[in-house]
Amino acid sequence: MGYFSSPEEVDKYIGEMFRQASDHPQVGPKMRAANVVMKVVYQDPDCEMTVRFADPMETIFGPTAAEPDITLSMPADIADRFWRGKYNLAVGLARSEVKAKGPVNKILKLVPLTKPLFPVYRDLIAQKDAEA
Amino acid sequence: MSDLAATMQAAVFYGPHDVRVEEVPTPDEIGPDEVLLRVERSAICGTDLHPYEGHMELEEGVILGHEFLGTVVETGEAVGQVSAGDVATCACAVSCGACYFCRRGEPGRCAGIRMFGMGMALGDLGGAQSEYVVVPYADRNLRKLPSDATDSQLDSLLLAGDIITTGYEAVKKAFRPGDVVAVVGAGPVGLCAVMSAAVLGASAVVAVDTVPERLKIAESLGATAVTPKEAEDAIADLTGWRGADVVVDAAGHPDALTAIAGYVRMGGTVSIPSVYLQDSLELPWGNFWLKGVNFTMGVTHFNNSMDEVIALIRSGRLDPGRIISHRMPLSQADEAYRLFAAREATKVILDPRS
Ligand SMILES: NC(=O)c1ccc[n+]([C@@H]2O[C@H](COP(=O)([O-])OP(=O)(O)OC[C@H]3O[C@@H](n4cnc5c(N)ncnc54)[C@H](O)[C@@H]3O)[C@@H](O)[C@H]2O)c1
Ligand SMILES: [Zn+2]
Ligand SMILES: [Zn+2]
Repeated sequence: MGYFSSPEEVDKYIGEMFRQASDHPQVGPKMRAANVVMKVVYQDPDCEMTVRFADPMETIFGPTAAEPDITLSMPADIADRFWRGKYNLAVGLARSEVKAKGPVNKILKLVPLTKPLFPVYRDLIAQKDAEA
Repeated sequence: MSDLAATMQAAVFYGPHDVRVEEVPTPDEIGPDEVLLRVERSAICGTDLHPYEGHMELEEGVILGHEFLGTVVETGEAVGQVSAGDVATCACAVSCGACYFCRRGEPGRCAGIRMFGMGMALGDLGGAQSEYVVVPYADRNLRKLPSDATDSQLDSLLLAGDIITTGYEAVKKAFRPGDVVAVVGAGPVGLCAVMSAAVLGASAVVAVDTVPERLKIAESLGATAVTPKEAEDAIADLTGWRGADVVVDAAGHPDALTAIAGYVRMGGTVSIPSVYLQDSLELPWGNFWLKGVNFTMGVTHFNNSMDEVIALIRSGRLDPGRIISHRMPLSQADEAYRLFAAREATKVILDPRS
């Protein structure tokens, strides 16, 4: 089995990280100013999440009518590795493990904002890791 | 790699106009297809100015630099084209060689394109404004340089992984011998396009910029050098009012693209190596459409054109090293960035060994 035991866990950890991102001193203001809607489709467990990078920032777990500008697709395990800082997105795109559609310039702008969130994610999963 | 010092000097990005030279960990691990290179010459490129000027998002802590040459220190077990002690230069944007785009001979569109010193969005590679750099997919992206290359050839070969190949390809892909070429922006890339156009067989080259020192260099390379105000008339005069066959946009400013509509001939080509990251632009579309203009743009296919450029440098027909205006120790990188961004320096080379 993969790292996340259920779709709800994807929301509990990755979704929660995005919710906390809005108040992150370094990247929160940039994310709220990005004016982009990003949908991520995860596999194993299959689920989807939509993040509205706007003010207020909003993270919606599950289907929504919000039209995404950017859509990413990846196995949930790869998302976990990415947020731990252990997965190279460019290599993943070359291997088609991660797929992306939407304006490339908007994607390039969002990626650097993710790094300061790695510690937020690691804090969120610390207890789950300790129990594993 | 155990005999290397644990730390090295590097130029680290902290935000717009904030580049600091710091001690950082020396890379201590390479993959099977990777090479560790000791950097001997490293340039500052106009592309570095995008994050430096705050026009491109880049995370804090990234080691900058992507235009370099150096000596191979160690190779992964799958590397066959270079060995320890070889001097080599490298494509600034490395391609994987295996994806759909690479298989079609379009490495500039590689699905996993990675660029040194440009952060996570471009593959999380440490930059080469540092003492050591790790080169991935090394057999494909590194070029071993002849051991008898002179010091001045090395200055030119250093630029083969980036600006000279960019200027050369920008002209070549749109070009027939005898064409009139206009180059807008006489920065390093534009000057490289000017000298490439001459080598490829242009009948005339016009260079457009506002910086007098840069126009002077363009003139010394055989171009008619003009300001944006004079450009449209100068090009009309040279072409019997027809317009330039090829216009290279090496300025990277929407004003340049707008002006280019008046420079290019009916059916001509606008070749755009300069980087645009805006969501949208307002352009004189009716003029472009009625003229039937062709557009070509994007990241250079370094792997396709580097060997041609290296051969032309070796034979003495291309000499891009002559545009180098400043040589500074890596320890003065912050001042070097300031000079280049203010266009007080045409091209700066940093020496990591000092
Ligand atoms: N496609 C690629 O793979 C690739 C490779 C290298 C560099 N680049 C890009 O090429 C561009 C040029 O690089 P550079 O190192 O020469 O940068 P640079 O900033 O030093 O040079 C740009 C020049 O354009 C001039 N300019 C600006 N606006 C102008 C206008 N409206 N009309 C005429 N001239 C104008 C400036 O005075 C300057 O001399 C940058 O955008 C860089 O990122 C692309
Ligand atoms: Zn460059
Ligand atoms: Zn590829």
